[in-house]
Amino acid sequence: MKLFKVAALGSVAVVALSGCGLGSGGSSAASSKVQQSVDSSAKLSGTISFQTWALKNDKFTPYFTKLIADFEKQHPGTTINWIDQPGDGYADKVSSEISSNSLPDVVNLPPDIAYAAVKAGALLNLAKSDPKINQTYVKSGLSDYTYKGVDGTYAYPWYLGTDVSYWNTDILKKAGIDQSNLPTTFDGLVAAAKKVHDATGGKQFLMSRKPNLYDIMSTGAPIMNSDGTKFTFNTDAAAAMIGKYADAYKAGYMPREVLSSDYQGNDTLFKKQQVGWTTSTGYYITSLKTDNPTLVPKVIGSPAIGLAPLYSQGISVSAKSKNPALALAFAQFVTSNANQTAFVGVAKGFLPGTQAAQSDPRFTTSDGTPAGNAAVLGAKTLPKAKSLGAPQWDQQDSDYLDQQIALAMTGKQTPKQALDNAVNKANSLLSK
Amino acid sequence: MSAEQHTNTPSVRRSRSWATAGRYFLLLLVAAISVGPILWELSTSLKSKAEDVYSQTPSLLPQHPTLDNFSEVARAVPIYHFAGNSVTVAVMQIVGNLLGATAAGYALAKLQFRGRKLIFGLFLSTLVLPAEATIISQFQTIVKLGLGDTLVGVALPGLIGAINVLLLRNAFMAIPEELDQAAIVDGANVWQRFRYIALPNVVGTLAIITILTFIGAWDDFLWPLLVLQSPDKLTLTVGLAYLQGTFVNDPRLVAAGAMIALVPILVIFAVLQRYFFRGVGEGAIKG
Amino acid sequence: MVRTHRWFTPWIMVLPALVILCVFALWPAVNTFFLSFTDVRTLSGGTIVGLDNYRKLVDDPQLRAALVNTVVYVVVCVPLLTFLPLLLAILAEKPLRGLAIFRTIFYFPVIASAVAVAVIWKFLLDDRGLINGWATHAGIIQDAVPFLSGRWLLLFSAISLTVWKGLGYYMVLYLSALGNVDPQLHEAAAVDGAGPIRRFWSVTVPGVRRTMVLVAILVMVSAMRIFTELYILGGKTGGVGGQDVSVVFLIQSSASGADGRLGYASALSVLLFVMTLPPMALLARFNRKVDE
Repeated sequence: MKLFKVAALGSVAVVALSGCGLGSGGSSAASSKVQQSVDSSAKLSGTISFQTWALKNDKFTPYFTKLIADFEKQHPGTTINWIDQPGDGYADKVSSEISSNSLPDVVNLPPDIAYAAVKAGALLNLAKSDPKINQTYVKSGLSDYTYKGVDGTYAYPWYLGTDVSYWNTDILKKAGIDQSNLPTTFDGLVAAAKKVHDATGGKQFLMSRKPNLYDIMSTGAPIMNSDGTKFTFNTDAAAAMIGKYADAYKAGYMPREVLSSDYQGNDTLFKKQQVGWTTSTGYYITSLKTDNPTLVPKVIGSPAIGLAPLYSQGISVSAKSKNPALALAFAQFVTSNANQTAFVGVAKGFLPGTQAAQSDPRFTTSDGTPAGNAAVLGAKTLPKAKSLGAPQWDQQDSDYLDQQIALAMTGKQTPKQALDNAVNKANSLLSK
Repeated sequence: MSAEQHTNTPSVRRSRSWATAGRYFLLLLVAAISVGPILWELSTSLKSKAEDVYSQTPSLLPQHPTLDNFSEVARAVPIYHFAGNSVTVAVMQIVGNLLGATAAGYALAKLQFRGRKLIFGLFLSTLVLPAEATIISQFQTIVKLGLGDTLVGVALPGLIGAINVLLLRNAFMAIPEELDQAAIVDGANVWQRFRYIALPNVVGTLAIITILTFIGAWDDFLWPLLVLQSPDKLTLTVGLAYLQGTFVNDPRLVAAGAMIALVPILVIFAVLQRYFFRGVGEGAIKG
Repeated sequence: MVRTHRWFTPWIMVLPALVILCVFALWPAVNTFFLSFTDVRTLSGGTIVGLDNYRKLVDDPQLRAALVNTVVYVVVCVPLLTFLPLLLAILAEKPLRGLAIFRTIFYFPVIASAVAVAVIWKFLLDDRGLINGWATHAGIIQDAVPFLSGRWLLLFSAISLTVWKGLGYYMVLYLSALGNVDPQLHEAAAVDGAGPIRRFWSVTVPGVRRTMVLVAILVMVSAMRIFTELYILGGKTGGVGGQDVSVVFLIQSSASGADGRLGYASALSVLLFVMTLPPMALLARFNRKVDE
């Protein structure tokens, strides 16, 4: 049994929002630090450490072992020590590495954790050391690691993912929902949820989650103002959406425990076949093959309802690396087109972060299986996917919004109040 | 609660035996309340997968007792490793207190030196601070020392407890002055007096401090929760909190985890309770 | 006392303890105060922002909830934990066969780790747990009572856990106090025809009044410092909607995370200190009196 849930790949692509909120505009810790630019023409030698996030498992270990062996063969006299951190608590782990000056030389970070690291001056500005960065990697990935008020780009885009809807066909059949005509709008989803509720006597469900910031973004609400100094997502449209969730909850279309703190989560209930709808990356069905093989034939994918969120992963280099030349070379090696393409060959349903791979037909042709279809769906959705673009939004903000929405869903306050409170809290937490 | 009467008529005797029976009944009732939940969890941890823990008519005794949950829980999270981490922290703190608090307590009690009153006052003053109020700054200090996410970082602030220094000072104060004087006449130096006169007289206090330190380290939660992040470094309480957050779907495993945290400490306590109760009367310990 | 040692010997003996004391108790106390005027975070920051954190405190709705919870906690726990352990101590005071075993059992909840017993209570109070399961089966209730998700029910569940865990601890404090009550007073009262309840109020309570005050203060302070029960029973978010939190809970939640707000958490710490100061000062005076 795996120790921890893999967060980055597979099961839940929860955006582990973390880091912290520094309103931009002011000078930040990062820009005041001396930034070295790295001479990449030097002969490489020595040892560096390389840290991944939740990727040391049966599925991916062979890929990394080979990747590192290849690099060490190309550059005799170099050694790469591979460390992997579990899915849970990665943000805390990285922050303790930074504060104890033990951040690995090359490290895999999502944009929000990278932002906290950048503010602490812990990452190397890659745009400075690698002039070709903008021609090599996709824009959406690069922009996730380029922060308002901070000069530079702080990671090579590595792999990109987005959400696809997944349905349990057993539950759909019970409720008489046509598999070729699945809900594409939120209202359609609620209508389908009512069917499931009525058909199963309230024993099974379609919906089982609270709305989050991505759902709010889906309604067209601007997360922040244009210069990134204030949160502004408390719009009427967003409130209306939360109101619909609250109505669905009150009508019994969701499990009661959705609101409680130890709720197991939509993903767990989907795997237990108590709920019929979940969202996850294009890799989901492939990952089910190892975890829940009996479920695989019952799952089909469809395009995301509402806006597709963009989840980026990047490879960063520590600003305090003792061997920056080697670290940079290895980071480029990991994110090279060939190596990224090979990686996504294992992690089906994601797309590489290189420009060359975007038009690669391998990622957009399906083998006809539901798993293959879902992977292609993920890849095809990606160009339209959008990231929050608010790295200031952190775990505390996210927790607070979640609590406020819970209160709105129990009817203790209006959706608008919930949003106002969350916006006010998030703004008060932004440092000046 | 009958009054002690010095009469012995049959009616009084009868009423007294009724009173005793009543006392036993009440004592048993409170004992059941005290230990019932723990026994119930113990039973849950021994129940096999075949037996429903949430049934409408749950039975206290497992029908097919099994130890499977105790190996299963270790497959889910390295709970025995967590327990080892807790022991590591406890041992560091016990050693630190036995050496550091004893030495400081002795100097404050038995040696004249300038500044003694001031230092004693410093130790006393920290007792007024609730630990939670200084925890943030302690955390920052630990992080700055580069000890964040390490067991040493968890153990360090409690390495020598002010309360233990004061307890030992009181214990050393209680040793009659004449013993020391006699030893001085015999030409014993300060280290010899410490070793051969003072230490043997405070063994009881040292035992209590050892027990309390162990319990404190074993049960501590908020501080290790702040300091530790890595899943391989967690102490038992943090690991248990994590376990119940992650595997809520199988109460048997959570129960097994809770038992791993409870049973050792309760056994140690049951064995050593005599020393313990003797010592607790000496001062209100534990905030 | 004759000086028989070199001047630095006592300093060598005191030094390790003094270093730990200064670095991990005195300095943090001073530093917390300073930090509360800055925007220091785990990884960054460090500018002085004046009273900014305190202004945020005043506007923090979660803190308001936390303070209300603290008041409820104190108001409910203090009487319960002042009287129940006293009754228990009276029960467990007079010699009786097997009493040592009872005392040990009563002390089990005190020794047990708060996390472990909170996990147990969570299991008992769960929507499908023992209590709800039994009550629905017996037909007392139709739907499960939401012990762990109701705004007030969760708080009272935590309070009952705190009371359960504290009984044995305060009982032991009373036991030593009861030993000092003159048994002849009881006899005299009995001769005057006072029943057990009268004797309790007129003899026992006055005899242990000092200890009752001490216990009440101790309970008050620990009720202000509550954390683990709420964290385990209500989860990391502090119940549904984050209403079931305490001051310590907020200190923990604002300081944790990838880049915790140590400045804000310090302001909360100062608030906690100010809250506990009156009872702690009483306690210090009290202890001095006892020493005299």
